[in-house]
Amino acid sequence: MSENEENPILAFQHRFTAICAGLWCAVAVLVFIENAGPAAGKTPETLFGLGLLATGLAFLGWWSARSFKQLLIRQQNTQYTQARLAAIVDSSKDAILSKDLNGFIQTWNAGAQQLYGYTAEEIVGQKISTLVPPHMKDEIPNILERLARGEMIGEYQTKRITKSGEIVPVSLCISPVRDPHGNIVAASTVARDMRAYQAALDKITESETHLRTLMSNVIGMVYRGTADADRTMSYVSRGSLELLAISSEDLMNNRKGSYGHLVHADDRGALQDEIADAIQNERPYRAEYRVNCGPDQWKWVREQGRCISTPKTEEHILEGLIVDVTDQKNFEEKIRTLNLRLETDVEERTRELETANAELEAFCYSVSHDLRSPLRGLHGFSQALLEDYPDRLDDRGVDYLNRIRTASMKMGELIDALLELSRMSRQEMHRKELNLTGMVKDRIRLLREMDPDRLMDIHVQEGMQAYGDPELIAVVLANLLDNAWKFTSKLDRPSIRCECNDTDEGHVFYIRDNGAGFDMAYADKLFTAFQRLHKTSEFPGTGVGLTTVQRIIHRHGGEIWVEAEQNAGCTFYFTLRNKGAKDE
Amino acid sequence: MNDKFVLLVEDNPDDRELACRAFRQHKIVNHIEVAEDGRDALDFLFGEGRHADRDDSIQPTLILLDLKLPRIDGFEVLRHIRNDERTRYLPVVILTSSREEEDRVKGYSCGANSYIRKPVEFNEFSEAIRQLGLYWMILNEPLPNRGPKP
Repeated sequence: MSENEENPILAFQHRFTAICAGLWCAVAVLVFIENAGPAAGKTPETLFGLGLLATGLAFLGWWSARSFKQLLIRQQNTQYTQARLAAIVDSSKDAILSKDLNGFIQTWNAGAQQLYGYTAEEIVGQKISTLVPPHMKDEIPNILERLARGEMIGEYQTKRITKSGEIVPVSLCISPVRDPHGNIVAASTVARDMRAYQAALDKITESETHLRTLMSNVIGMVYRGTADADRTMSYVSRGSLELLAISSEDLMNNRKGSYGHLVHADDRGALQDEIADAIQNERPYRAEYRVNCGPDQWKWVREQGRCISTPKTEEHILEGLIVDVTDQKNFEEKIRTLNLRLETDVEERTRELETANAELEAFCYSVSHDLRSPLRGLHGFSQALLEDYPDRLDDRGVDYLNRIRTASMKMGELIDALLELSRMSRQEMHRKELNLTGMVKDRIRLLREMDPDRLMDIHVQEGMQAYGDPELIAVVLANLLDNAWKFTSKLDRPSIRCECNDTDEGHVFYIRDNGAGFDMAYADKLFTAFQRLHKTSEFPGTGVGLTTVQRIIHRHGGEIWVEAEQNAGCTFYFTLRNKGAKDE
Repeated sequence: MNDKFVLLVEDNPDDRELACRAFRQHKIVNHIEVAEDGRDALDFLFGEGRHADRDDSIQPTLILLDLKLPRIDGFEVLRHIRNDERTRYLPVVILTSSREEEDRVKGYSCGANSYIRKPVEFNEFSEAIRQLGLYWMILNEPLPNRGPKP
C-alpha cells in the first residue's frame, strides 16, 4: 500500500473524532445560551455550559495537534520513500529510463549510462529511437502504440545500439505511467544487458553442436530413451541410418515405429530381462541380440548403457550405445563351426586310428600264427632230412641244412621280439607304487640261477621306489639287466650297479655295467628296432629289446638315454613320472 | 593199448606231418586220426558227414586241437565237444602257434585241459609231443569208453 494514499478506516476515524468534538462544542454553546438570559448570572447552569465548552475546545486543540503531527510524519515518510526509490533506480545495474508518449527520453539512470554510453545530460530530451539500431526503427511505433493502449510489455528481446555504435542484445520491460487521473502520460523502461547471457547461450549451443558432431561420428547409435518394451527414443544419433537404415528423425519419438519392434522377437525377452535387472541393481546393462534393418535383413548388435533415472522413478530413462557386431558374430560362428568340424575330424581320426589298431592286432595275430608255421616246417623238415638221410648227405649238405635250421630259429626269435614290442605298446597300463629295488634284485637272482658260474659284482641301491605298471616295468628291468649281464660276459671282473639320483625333475634311475659298451657316435641307432651295435657272433640278440624298453618308458611319460664308451661299459638312465603327474 | 588213438585237428600239412613224425619217433601211439578242419573234426567225433558210418561210441584218448582252423575254429570245436555227452570229458590239449593272452584265456574258459605253444625248433616241438603224449596217453587215467553201440 502506497504511503501517499489515504487509509479509508483512518480517514473515517478522523472525521468521526472531528464530528464528535464539534457536537460537544455545540451542546456546550446551547447550554450557555439557555442560561444566559436576563436573569443570567453566575448560575451553576452557566458555569456548567462554560465547563463543557472549555472541555470541547481543549479536546479540539489536542486533536488538531495530534493530526498535524501525524501529517508531518507522513510527509517525512513520503520523502524517505522517494529517496529510497531513487537510490534503487540509481544503483540498479539495469538501465532504467522513462519517456513520454512521443518517445522523448525523460529520465536516465546510471545503469542506462553504463549500458548505452550516454550521460543523462546527453540523452534526456532526445528521441528514444536514438537507441534503436537503424534496421529496427519500425518497432518503436508499435511499442508506443501498445503502451498507449495501457499494455505492459515484459521480457521483450531485442537489440539496441550504444553511443559507440555497438549493437547489444537487451531484454526490455516497458510499463505505462499514469497521472493521478489515470491517464497514460509516459512509459518506464527497464533494459537488461543480455550480452553475457547470449555469450553463455552461444557457448552451450556450440558445445551441443560439438557433442552432436561427436555423436554422429561414433560408430554405432547413441541414444536416450525409455526402458519399456517400445524403447521410445527421445534422442538418437545419426548412426541409426547406417545401423538400422532408419534416419534418427524417423526413429525419435517412434515417428516410423519404435526401436523395440526392431528387436528380434526371440531376443526381446532376454533384452528386457537384462535391462530390468540392471535397473533394479543400479548397474550398467549389456546385451547382444538381433535387430531388423530391412526386409528379411538382420544384424547382430551389442547394446550397452545405463539407466539415468533412479530405480524408484516411474519411467526409466536409458542412455547407451548400440553397435553392429554382425561380423564378430559371424567370425565366432565360423570358429564354432571350425571347432565342431575339428572335433568331428578328431573323432573320425580316432575311429581310423582304432581301426588301424584293430588291424594291427589282427596283423600281429596272423604274424604269430601264420609266419611261425612255415618256420616250423623249415626247421622240422631240415632236421628230418638230417635224421632220416644222414648217409646221403655230405658235410656241405649237412652244413646247409644246419644253416636253414639256424636261420629259421633266428626268424622265430625276431617274430617273438616284434610281438613282444607290439604287446608292450598296446597293453593297457595299471600303474601303482613299485618297489624297484626288489624288482631289480628278483631279476638278478634269476640271472644268477641261469648262469651260476658267473662271478658278478653287483650293487643295488636300497629303497628305490617308482610309480608304474608292474608288468611293463619288469620288462624294462629285464631287458636292461639282461643286456648288462650279456655285455659283461667276456670280463674277468664284471660289475653291475643299479642306483637312483634325485634331481629337480624327480628320480633318475640308472643301470651301469663295465662291459663292452659302444661308440657314442652310434647312440642314436640304439633304440631303433633291428639296429644292433654288436655282431651276433659276439653278443646274440634281436635288436628289438631296447626299442621295447624305450616305448614302455615313453608310455609312462618318462625319458631314457644312454652314456657309453667303447670297451668301457655303458649306463642307461631313465625317469618315470611320479604319481599324480600328467600322462604323455 | 591198441584201441587208444589221438585225434589231431590241424589244417597245416607240415605241422601235421611233424606232429605225426614226433609221435612215431617216440612210439607213443600207433594210430593218429587226422582232421583237417573244425567241421571234419566234429563230423569224426559225432559220426556225421563223411564219418557217418563211424561208431561214435569209440572216442580218441586225446584230442590235439589247433585254434586257427578253416570253417569252424578251434574254440567252436571245443565248445561242441564240451556240450556233448559223448565227448564232454575227453582230454583236449590246445596246440597252437599263438601266445596271445586272449587266446589262452578263451581256450581255458572253453574247457581246454592244457595249452601248448608250438616251438619253432623241431627238437623242442618233438619233446613237447613226447611229454604230452606220455602224460595223457599213458599216465593219465581216462574215463572208460562206454563200448560199441548195442
